[in-house]
Amino acid sequence: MQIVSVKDMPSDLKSLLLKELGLGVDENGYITKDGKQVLDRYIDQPVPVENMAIFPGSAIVLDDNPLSIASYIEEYGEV
Amino acid sequence: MGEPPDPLKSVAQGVTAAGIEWSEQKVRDLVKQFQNRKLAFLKNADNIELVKEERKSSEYAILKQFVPVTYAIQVQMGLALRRIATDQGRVIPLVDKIRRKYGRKGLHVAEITQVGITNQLLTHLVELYRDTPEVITRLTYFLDHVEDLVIFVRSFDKPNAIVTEIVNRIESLEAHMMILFGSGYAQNIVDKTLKIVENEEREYVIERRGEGVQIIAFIFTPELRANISHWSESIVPSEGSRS
Repeated sequence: MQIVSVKDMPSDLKSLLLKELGLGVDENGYITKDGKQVLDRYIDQPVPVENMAIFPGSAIVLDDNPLSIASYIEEYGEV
Repeated sequence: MGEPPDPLKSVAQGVTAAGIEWSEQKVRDLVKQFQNRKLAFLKNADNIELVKEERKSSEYAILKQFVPVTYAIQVQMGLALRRIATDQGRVIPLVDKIRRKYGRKGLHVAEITQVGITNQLLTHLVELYRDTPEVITRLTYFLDHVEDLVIFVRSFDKPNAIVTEIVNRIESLEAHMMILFGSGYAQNIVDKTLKIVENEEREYVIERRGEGVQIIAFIFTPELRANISHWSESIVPSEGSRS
């Protein structure tokens, strides 16, 4: 699986990317789905758009940190 | 002049999309690849590379054979903390996340792995017991009781209070052994604590290991130390903790 860094992606294109994935951003900069903040399933915290990690499947949205990524790999296998 | 480089091609060949010239069309193309499960979007490659590197390490390859699933991530985070130890900008938020997710005990499991105690114990257990279930039982017992067996000294702790804690625990716990750990400014507190322990009438046996900016000290009752060759031999699970 290829990893695409979105660090330098312009914010309007980040919004487009999220829209294409069926996601959005709230006024506080957190990723939303159906109008509700998406929680990182491993740390139970909302995901700031500037720190997002999105893995395929059902567009699994995580916070880009070692704990969440290790937990994802532990659950889904190597990426 | 040749054709301009295709950023998507470079994405497919590389780990990250550094240097991509972003456009709406590129985003849509990437989304198609994403939907085909060919790529993932991350802030940057730092964290995934860190995780992948520690999962590839020989230390993790050994640990994962014996560490129970409940401690798998905490141990991995210990190895990750070791790799990023000099980058406080990454250490502090990770420590915070480990504490939030797994509590103080979980953080301590990560920290003893970070400083090498988990691996040291495992290495000795594997040498002592050829029986894998026995190694797993003893390692699990240690991780389950890390809060009793290890004191993580902080720079603001009072040496006399730690000594009282050591004496209480070492005399009451089945293991009759304590591990004292301090890093950074806490090393000074560990030193002062050990000096007080050395002067105790009971004549506790102390084994001190200083590694760079940290101290690990093993303290035993004299009776115990005379009967074991390695600290891990005092980690004896009771029958009740064997499944």
